[in-house]
Amino acid sequence: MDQKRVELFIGPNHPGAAGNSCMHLWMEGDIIKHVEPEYGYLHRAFEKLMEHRNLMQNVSIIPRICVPEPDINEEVYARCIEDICSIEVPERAKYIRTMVLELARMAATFLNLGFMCGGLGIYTVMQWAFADRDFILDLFEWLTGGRVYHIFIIPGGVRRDLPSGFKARVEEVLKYIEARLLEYDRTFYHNSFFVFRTKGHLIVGEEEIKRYCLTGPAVRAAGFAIDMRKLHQYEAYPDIDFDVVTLKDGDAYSRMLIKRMEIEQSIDIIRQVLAKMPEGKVLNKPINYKKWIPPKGESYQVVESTNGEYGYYMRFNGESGNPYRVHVRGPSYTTGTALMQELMKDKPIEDMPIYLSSFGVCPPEIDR
Amino acid sequence: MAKKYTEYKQKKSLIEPLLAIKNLFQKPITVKIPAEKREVSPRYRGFHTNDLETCIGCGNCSEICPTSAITMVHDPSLPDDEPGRKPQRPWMDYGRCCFCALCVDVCPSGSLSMTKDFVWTSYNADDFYFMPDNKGIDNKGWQSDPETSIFHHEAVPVDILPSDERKKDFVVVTQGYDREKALAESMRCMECDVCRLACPAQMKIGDYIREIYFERYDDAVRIMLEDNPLSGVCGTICTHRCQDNCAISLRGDSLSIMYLKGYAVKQADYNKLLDELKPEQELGKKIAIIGAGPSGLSCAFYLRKAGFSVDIYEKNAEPGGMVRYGIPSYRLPNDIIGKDVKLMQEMGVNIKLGVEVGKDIEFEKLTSEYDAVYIACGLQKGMKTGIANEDAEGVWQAVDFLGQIRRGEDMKVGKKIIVIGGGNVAMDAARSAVRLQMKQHGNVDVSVICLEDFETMPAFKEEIEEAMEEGVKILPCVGVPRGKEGVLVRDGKVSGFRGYPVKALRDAQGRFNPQFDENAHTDFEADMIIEAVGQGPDFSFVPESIQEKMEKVAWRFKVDENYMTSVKGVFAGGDIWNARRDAISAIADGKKAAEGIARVILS
Repeated sequence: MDQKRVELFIGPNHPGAAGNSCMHLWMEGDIIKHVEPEYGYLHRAFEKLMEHRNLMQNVSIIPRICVPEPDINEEVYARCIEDICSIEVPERAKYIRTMVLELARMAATFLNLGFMCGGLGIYTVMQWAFADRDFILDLFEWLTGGRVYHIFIIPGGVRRDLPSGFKARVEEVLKYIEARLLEYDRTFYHNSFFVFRTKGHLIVGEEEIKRYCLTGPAVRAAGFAIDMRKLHQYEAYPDIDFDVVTLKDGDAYSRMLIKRMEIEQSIDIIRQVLAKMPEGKVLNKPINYKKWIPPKGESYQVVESTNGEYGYYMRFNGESGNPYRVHVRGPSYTTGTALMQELMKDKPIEDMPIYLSSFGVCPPEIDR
Repeated sequence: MAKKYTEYKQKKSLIEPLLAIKNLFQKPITVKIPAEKREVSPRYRGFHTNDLETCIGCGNCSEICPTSAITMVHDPSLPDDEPGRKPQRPWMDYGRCCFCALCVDVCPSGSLSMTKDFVWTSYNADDFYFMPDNKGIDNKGWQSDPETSIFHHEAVPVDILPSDERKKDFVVVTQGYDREKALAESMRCMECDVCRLACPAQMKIGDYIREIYFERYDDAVRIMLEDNPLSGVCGTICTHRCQDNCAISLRGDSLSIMYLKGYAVKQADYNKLLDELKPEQELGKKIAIIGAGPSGLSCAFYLRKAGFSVDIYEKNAEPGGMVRYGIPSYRLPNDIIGKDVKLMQEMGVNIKLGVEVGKDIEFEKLTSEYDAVYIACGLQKGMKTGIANEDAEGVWQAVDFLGQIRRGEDMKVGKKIIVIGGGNVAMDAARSAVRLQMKQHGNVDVSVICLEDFETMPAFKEEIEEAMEEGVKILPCVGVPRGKEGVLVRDGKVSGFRGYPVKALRDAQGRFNPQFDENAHTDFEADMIIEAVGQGPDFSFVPESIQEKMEKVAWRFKVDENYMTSVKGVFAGGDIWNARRDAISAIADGKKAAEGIARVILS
């Protein structure tokens, strides 16, 4: 390397880095000349572990792949197995799953907002975001018994029905969040510092989107109405009336705004879900896990996570009850590696945390 | 119309963020732990609590645990041989536990649940490995009920002929499961094997049900034959103690182990198993077995498998003993017994039918010609109730009654029949009588009189229900006090029965000692009475000189751990030794006796 260059590390433990990952930077002055993302600090071999657990045991391992939004893992895992084993899911379970996914999306967005504020130094909003996320975690605690890892969606439905008075509780929290959003607007989204640091920065256009197969807010911020909830019509989404939000600029500012607008979208979806939720059972009990050997087959299922298309590929060989192969593909896989190397080149170092937060880079997805 | 949230008014301001300062004057939302208590949700998944009284030690929690946090640890204070319970309890390693509560959802007894406690601090890592007990049982969080659990609590019912169809003739009441139902039922088995201790023969139930689920019926039968050579019989009429002790039965319907076994035997091809069962070498030792009942056949099977040459002496025309001559053909058709017996004959067991020991061949001859003699003659004599006029015409013993029907001999039944007894034999007699009445008279009038009340009748509930569907009247709490006239006689023939209400069945010490209200009695009209109050042995074929040498407990020959009586070379087992007196116990006895005989002879 050139003698002028300085090597810097962001992470593995750094407030600007999401999770335990390391961005190895080669700097000239404060300009990044080269980034080498280094992952592996979180590696726990989930995919391999799942090959050594049966279908029911895996349910409690998978949420750990994505800490901020664990439910998407349960959802795609359950849908893969339902697809391979042709299991019907009760209607009510589909609605409960939709509600859980949207609550999780809000919780993850708040966490992401907190990371962004941490990177920008707007610590007031960081505290707010983490605190308000806790109200959603409280809801999860009432519904699933766990705050962060819910282990609630299993193949065949969900583990429990809504507890009594849950709908009213949800509505209470939704109203609170709606009121808080005005505060967030004033303090963060309208904040000149935030706009100055993000508007026109880290622009992703059609070319990058195609080359790196980007999905989620990054694409919608660039004007493409691509949303897995519309494209794949899973769970109760076909019955829900919602619009895909889009902006035109494709910069970090638009990506953050898309997530902000999607909080309102989630609130609207949850209200519809609660109003339309049919009565009935919530679980078609899957086959006794000790005798469950799925037929030979494979399946790829996707879900729209906070950061884009999140998918599981699963394959069974028809001889064993354990999956033959599981592959987890999250949106961070490109945004956290190749796209970062291209986009961060010749950018000032202060754009690094903005990059990580606006794309929602989640190291466990890469280290799964 | 586009949704409101699709539009966002972008704005940029330096002043607006400062308005956040007003939050300084708001009450904080933070909960100040430990001064303030956090409200914990009713479903919280905290530390475990285990009701040690209801825990059966089945180990399902340990097996589903994805992180191997649960270990089943042997508890020496628990009894080793309690049916339906294993002497082990779960220990938790909270260094590994991920609080997923799958263990709670799979717990068949419902003893395991999670509490709302989540604080536990210690300097010592070993303190996080302990056995959850009743601590926190009042503070339960996540619990499961059969509906929300992940085991299947609802049984798959078998198809049973409707009562007016089945009472017309001795047609088989149920054909058991078909393929689809057998798969659905065998899927429910959790393979915890707590049922195994309840089975007198200790069959490997979890193992063979697993094979049934995967449709490997030959393998299933191979496992069954390790402990029970009459699996076909036991798949149809067993007393199924295993089912009564099934883990799932604690909160749901027990697994229909008996019918599953019956289905597997039906599907299995015994010819394929024959090569494995034939003895590898002939030992050149000869064993005589008296009686081709379940115990004798079972003993013969295992002796033959070990290489002994076996002769069975049976006085009846067909093998099977009580299973053939004591159980009506609507419950156990002959072809099922035939399949099991044929396998033994092909293995080389020699069954001499129609040869009565003591009459056609002397007992001493057997003892001198053979290396060992196994007495498995069973209880062939009906026990009498001891009430007056018992010898009148029209009074039958259930054993003789059922035997005569089974032999295909002509049997005229009365128009009004009373069966005395509340056990399964009484039900068999009553239901057989129903079928004969339908044939001979076209209508049913059978009453069952027993000392017990309806709830405590020893017969199986489903037997009683099916009998009642067929028109049998049950008259519980009726009996005859000692010395009172019970059977009413006119012209030397039975004309009725005089019953006295039972005040108490047992005395203060819990001993059987019925008390009657002797002032009140009811007369029942009847022209036929069948006594089904138990059976006794008939040892008349054993010469007095030998019987004198044999030590006895009450009327039973005393046997040692090898099932050998006090006379060397003479073994005994089956109904004449064990107190349970059902087919599976006799089969278990036969196997143990075979092992005992082999031990004694080969040593």
